Amino acid sequence: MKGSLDEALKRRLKIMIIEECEKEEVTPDDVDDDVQLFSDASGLELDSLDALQILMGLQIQFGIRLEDSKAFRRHVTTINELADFIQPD
Amino acid sequence: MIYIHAIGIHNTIPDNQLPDLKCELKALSGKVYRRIDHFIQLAIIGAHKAVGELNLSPQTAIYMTSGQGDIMVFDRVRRQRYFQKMLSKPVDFVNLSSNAAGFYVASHLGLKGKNLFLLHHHFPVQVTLLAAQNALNLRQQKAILVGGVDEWIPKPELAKKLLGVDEATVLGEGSNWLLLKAEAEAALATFALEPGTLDKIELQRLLLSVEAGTFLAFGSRFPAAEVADIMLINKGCKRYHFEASCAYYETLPLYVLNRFLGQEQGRLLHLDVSKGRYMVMRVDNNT
Amino acid sequence: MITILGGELLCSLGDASERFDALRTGKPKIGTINVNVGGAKATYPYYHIDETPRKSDPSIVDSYLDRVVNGLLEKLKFKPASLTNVGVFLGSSSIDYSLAWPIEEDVDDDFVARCKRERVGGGKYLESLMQRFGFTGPSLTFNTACTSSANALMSAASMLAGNIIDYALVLGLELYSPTTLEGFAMMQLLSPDAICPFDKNRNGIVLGEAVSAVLLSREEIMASPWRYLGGKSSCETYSVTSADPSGAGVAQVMREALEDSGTVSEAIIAVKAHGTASNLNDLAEMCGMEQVFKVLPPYLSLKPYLGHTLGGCGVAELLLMMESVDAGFIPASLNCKTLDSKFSQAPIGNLMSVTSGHIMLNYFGFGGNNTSFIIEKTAP
Repeated sequence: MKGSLDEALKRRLKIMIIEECEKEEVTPDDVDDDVQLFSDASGLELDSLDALQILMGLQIQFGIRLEDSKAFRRHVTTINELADFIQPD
Repeated sequence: MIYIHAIGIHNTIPDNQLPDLKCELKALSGKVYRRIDHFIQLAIIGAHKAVGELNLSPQTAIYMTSGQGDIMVFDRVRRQRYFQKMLSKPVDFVNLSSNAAGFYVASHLGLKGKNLFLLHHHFPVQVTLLAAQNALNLRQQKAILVGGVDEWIPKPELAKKLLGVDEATVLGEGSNWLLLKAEAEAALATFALEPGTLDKIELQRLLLSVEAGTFLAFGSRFPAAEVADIMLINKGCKRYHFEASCAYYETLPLYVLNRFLGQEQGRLLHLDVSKGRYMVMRVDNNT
Repeated sequence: MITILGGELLCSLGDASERFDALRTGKPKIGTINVNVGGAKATYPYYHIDETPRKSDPSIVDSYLDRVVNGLLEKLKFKPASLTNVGVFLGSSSIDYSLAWPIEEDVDDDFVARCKRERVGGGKYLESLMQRFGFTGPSLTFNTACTSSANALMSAASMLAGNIIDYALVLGLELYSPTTLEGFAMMQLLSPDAICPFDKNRNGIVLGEAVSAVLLSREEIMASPWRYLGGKSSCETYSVTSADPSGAGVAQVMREALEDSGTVSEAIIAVKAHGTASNLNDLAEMCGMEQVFKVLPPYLSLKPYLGHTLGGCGVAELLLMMESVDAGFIPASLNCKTLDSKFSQAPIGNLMSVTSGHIMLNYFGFGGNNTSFIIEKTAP
């Protein structure tokens, strides 16, 4: 199943991001699937250290290696894109 | 002469379990911080108790010291790297440098002055206070927040070995802070530190010159027999007992000064020893 | 007046004559190092002191510290016993971890059982050095990340000014640390090829090792053409990992350093920038300098010569500046091929002839630490 259609995967991703970034006041339901995570619109207020923490979470929990946090912030910008990246089909 | 303007005590004897400071920090400061571990929480709590309600000048400096620093993050990273063969988290890497704690204390208090993290093998508190006293005397700083922070770790047997203390020692944790200024107005007490280390004869000479009724407090490494000797020779002095209220940590001398100032009226000499050399601090809150 | 009597330095550039050649010709030696980043092996450029195999072994650290202290005393014709009333100050960014604990690769659960009952900690290295040399004065170990030994030097100068000591021995220490290298690699701060401060295409820092010692005193005790005039250290809480890119905090500390040293900005003949070649550091530093100086003085980064030696760079880079000026020049700032278009002026492109004058040295680090101080070489 394409990652963006896999609700369970997307929920796991959101929980990982909330944990890695210690955004305790945020619930998975607060994170929109299509909003750019590193934009002001997401309301998450994430910075470059958060990007590194998320990369680490992806590596440990999902076995996904991404070398470059800047490229990650450019290309994998929403929960749907991230889910598709992890699970293309 | 320099003056103590505020004191803050955080001193606990954990009962085999790491105290949860997150809730305490939130209750105390009303804020939730990300990316801070136990050591940093401890630092902020102690600093907040000392000056959290004051309107500090943003130029106030922070001189922080510790016996072991952020030893838990160090232990975690060490185990991850060598034992579990996994990468540590970026936040842990940043916090490995204990001066990260000073950054968060400064953020919490809105300070942007000098921010030092200092270490010394025998007298971390005394030499940190020496640096602070000197900077204030030279008017290089107007106000310095001096803190001593030591965390309890859930592996006390390891901690005791690395601290070089015997197995029977009970370990505690503390974050004790005081605000020093060169100005006398509205001060709680005066502070003075003998700038060098003394030998036994120099110490005794100094003790002979103190006024009757002065309290003496002794550092944790003082042999009991030597304490007894000093009290016997200096009959005009009173022993200041604090030992029952705390367990061992390296920055305990700051707790002792602060506890005295919070509870007693008078003059206290705090004596500490290492390898036959002594350091003496003096506080006085007689108005 | 605080005098700087001289120093001794171990870094990748080699001995004094090799350092002179490298600084004059702009041709430093650069090695490589293998770093394991979470199972993936990568090779990065690296500036080694020498090829001695590195383990996190306290006795290796002691031996490097002894070499610089002995070298310094020899150069200045001092015997340890003649250094009366000396305070010793050490700055290192890794003192809390890779040095604080006798780490070995076979760390396991039996570590506790094998571990000796002996006080360890960040103050241990200085303590044992004091014992080996018989120094009895005050000592302090500083960890304020990349400003560690710069802050150690400033506190040493304060203790001299306060007449607490008559000599100050200030040490900068940064040796190979796998924890540090892996941490920087993991945070994606390392350049894969070269350190290019202020270049448009700069892509990160290159780490290096340096162990250094400098001796300070007061004019009335021992005169010197080199003087420490004053400085300032502050903390900006913009971000734990970077300076405020607007340059506000950096500019503030430079202004205060000028004020503390009684120097006007026009008197500064050169600025030794921090120049790490990380995108944000160079941006913040350049913006800061442009706010402080009406006309930007010639400036350079020494990091392409010896790498970023983290907590050690405070003293190591001071000594390289002094050695250069003693030889009659300030070296070129290397590897800035295309100036970042946001910057108005390129760093020093060619060797600059200098024999005296006021020089500003800047250092910035993790934890928001900003440090700036001014030295002067008086004309003969």
